[in-house]
Amino acid sequence: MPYCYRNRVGWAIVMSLLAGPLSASAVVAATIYVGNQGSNSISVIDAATRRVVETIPLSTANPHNLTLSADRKTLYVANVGSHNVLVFDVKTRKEVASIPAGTKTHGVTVSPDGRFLYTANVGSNTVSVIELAGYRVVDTIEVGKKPMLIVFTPDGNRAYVSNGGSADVMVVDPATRKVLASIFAGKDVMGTVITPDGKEVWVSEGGENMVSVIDVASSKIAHEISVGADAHGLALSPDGRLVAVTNRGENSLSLINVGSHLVMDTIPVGRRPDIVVFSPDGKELYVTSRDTGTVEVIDVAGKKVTASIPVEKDPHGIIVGP
Amino acid sequence: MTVAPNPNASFIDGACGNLSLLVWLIFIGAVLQAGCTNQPSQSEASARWVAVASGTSHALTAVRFLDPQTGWVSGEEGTILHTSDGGNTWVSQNSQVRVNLMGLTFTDRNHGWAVGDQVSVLATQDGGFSWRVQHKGPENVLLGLAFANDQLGWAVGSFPHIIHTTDGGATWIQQDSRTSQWFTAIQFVSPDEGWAVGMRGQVVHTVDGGRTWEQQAIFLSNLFGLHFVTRERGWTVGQDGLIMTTADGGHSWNAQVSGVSDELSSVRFLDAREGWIVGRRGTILRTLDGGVTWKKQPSGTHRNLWAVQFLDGQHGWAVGEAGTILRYEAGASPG
Repeated sequence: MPYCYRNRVGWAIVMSLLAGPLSASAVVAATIYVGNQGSNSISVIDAATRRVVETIPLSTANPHNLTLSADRKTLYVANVGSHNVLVFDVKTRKEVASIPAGTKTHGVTVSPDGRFLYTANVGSNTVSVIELAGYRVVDTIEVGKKPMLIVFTPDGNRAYVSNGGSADVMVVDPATRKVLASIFAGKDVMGTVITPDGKEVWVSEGGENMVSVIDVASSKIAHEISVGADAHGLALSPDGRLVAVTNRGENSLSLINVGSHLVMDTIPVGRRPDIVVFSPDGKELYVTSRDTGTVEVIDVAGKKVTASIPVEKDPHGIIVGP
Repeated sequence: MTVAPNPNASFIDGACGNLSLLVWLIFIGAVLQAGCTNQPSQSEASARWVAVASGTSHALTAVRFLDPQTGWVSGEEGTILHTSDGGNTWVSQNSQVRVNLMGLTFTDRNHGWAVGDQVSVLATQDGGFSWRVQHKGPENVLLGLAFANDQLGWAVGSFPHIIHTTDGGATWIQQDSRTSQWFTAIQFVSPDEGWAVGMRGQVVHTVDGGRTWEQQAIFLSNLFGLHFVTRERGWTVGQDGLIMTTADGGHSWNAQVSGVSDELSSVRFLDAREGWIVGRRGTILRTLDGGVTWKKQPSGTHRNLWAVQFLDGQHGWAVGEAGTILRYEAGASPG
């Protein structure tokens, strides 16, 4: 065996031995759930193998955004086309309930105490309050035009509703279910996240190509951050240090440092990237790419797409579960 | 860049002399044209920005060269790179931290500082062979720093005050900026006089080393870059392509037309006339007339650029996202 060839083979063996266990441990065990708007289904992806392990057909239309219960045992799917929320048991992946909500049910969020599901109903300009114990709507709150998403403060004392049609963010008191304030944000305000300390609510404004930071204490916009065209989905890293925002209009994702409010990186991703979530360890981002029918996997440290997982038509909402 | 006539040519030499005179006059005219307007000369037209390999995918946010060969860059995840060959090769230095390092400066080949997340201040006294954490805070981010010498320094970040050291960074005290906004950049032209700019268009100024800061201006856009070439003449740049300039130490400011709407992140002038700005989407702007006209330069990248530095008309560098390092290669002077 020639020396250089022997060396290469030896090196390859060493590398494969190193790469095997490293790559296996590098990807955290998790399950990704994706709502396919165009095919009325949920794709279930094993994050470690990047494979779709199940595609669940839905009896409803246009699954849009998804969320998990506080104990992460139940999946809730907002269906913008059939105005309801489907409830799935995560373990069996079986539908256990269908809850009528408001017109064009768009966003779903569970209250921090785990008792209520709030839905943003883009067609009726309302937020439905669903008691999860009985799967019934117990209240309906009038909000702004085209409510998109809802986020709670960690203590559950306030909820923030992004109203894409009226370009504002409303502050809701969950105890009284009254709107306390309206904060003018920007055109097409949509994505919402809150920092772990509850001091800042971040929202995307697709019509402004901006992300705005709301100071919770003063209910005012503290900073506006220029990002890419049609800023849309937002996600906060598990350590609270980064916010990711998809730029639908230019097929990229911006990574923003939470501490400095500065865009650190812009990563090309997919076509019409929409909703984004971090992996539980914060090392990866999963992005629905609507025009390619894929979930794009971004290596956060490497700042690049490392995998593209085909799902079904027009994937939109995405969430990571156990 | 220098352009010199052939010393062996005669001014008057019969018919050929008349032709030589004509050529000479045209030549002088061309030199004057290049010197007095924003039109690039032949050698300037051949100048270009060239990407050099950094070996990192992390965003690089600051650059500091002391001479054409010796420089450092800093960025995400504690990245500090050093070159001793003008940027041809970069060697990683062990910063001891994994935080984002947003600002970097050296007062000489040995003494340098880097600042970043969690109010981290790193220092080196041996050119970066060893870095040590001088100071660390809880949650805020330091974004910029300025040292007048190896003892006197100032830093700004995601808080509304300015921090100051008189012992080379060993201890820091707070200075009251008299505003409620964050600051992104700071510069001192002497141990007494300096400026800081930041969010919501804040510009503050001191003439007593920061014991008192006064608000000089508030613009509509966030400001990210600042450079004064003298105590009177300065520029600041920011969101929405904003360029503001002053000729009286910041007492009055005038807008300049950048021609772009992208965020501008860093500005550097060589003198009162020649200046460079970098920003989003690979934006590089240059002026040769003090900013009366800015012209977009081909950068060869669409990556966001964070910082620019020029030592002279021949030597410049820009850094940005995804480990981007660009080196300005001035055109060759004609024979």
